[in-house]
Amino acid sequence: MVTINNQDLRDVYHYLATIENVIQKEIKLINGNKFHLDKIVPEQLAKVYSQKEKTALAFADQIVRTSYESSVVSLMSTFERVVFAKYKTTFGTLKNVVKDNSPNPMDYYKSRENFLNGNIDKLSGIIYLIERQISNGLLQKLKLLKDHRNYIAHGKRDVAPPAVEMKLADIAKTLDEVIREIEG
Amino acid sequence: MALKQKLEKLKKLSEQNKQLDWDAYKEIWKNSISELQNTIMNKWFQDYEENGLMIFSIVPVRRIEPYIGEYLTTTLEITLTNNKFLILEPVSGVSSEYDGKLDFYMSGNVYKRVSILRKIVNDQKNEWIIARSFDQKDHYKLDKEQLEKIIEEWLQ
Repeated sequence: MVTINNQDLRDVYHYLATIENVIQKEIKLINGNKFHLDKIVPEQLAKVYSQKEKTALAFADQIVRTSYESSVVSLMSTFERVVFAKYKTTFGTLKNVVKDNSPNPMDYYKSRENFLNGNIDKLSGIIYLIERQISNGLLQKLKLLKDHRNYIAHGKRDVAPPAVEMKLADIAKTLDEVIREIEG
Repeated sequence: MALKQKLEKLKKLSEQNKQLDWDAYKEIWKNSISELQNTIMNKWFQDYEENGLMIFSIVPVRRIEPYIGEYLTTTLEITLTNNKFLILEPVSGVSSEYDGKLDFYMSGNVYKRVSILRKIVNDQKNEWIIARSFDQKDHYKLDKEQLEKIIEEWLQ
């Protein structure tokens, strides 16, 4: 299991890795025994998908897919929460520095603090902000993850999916590295 | 760089910048899927079918995708003995880094899955890549041997 330094991200990753583990174990039991599915689905769905081996396995495949996609969104939303909290804190600090230390002629503007952009509200804005601060490889991975999140969250209609999906552990590790580089 | 190469590069760039005809792209993508499925069924794995080791089924599926919209295509299902199913499923005609992807997986076996990616070489030719993981080092040219090797691993 990968080591994740940021606590928020680590907690969520641990929850998701556990869910993934539970699903993996349960689905293994469906192989060769389609009726095992009836033990894990809600009561109302018992015998709905377990009558044919092929149907039971296809249902299991969709459980895995849905769980993975939800996990991608969940990790990305946690990452957003963390980086936006850092951004807001940093913006507040910089705003005060400007207010307290700006000499003339900058002092001339009453709205001098607004020279700093405190209105970033999308992940793409944060990426723009940090793109020269983190390594190119990491930046490309982050952009790919953002697109992947958008692909899932926007109904798979307006962004191309990633050619190859990253494992949850790799996603968590990538996001953690970005946070670490921002902090560094 | 020789003048000819420079001119060819300019021409290529100009072609790339032209508005893509997504309807034409969609038809080519659909044909690419069929060609790949036919290659697997009628060329690479024909012997296995003739010996009763594999049964092929083509299942119609509907897709709605970014850029190319809605279309009908097919999934290839390969039934092995002992209720094991291999699925070759089109995912998207456009993907990051490549020009379309399919998933190839063993149904009901969570992590027995690879991506099969299309790379357009020119108007007439595609190259297929098999990707075992996100890492580029795990991307290989798709051929009969690679596909056999993966299935063999999955059956261990």
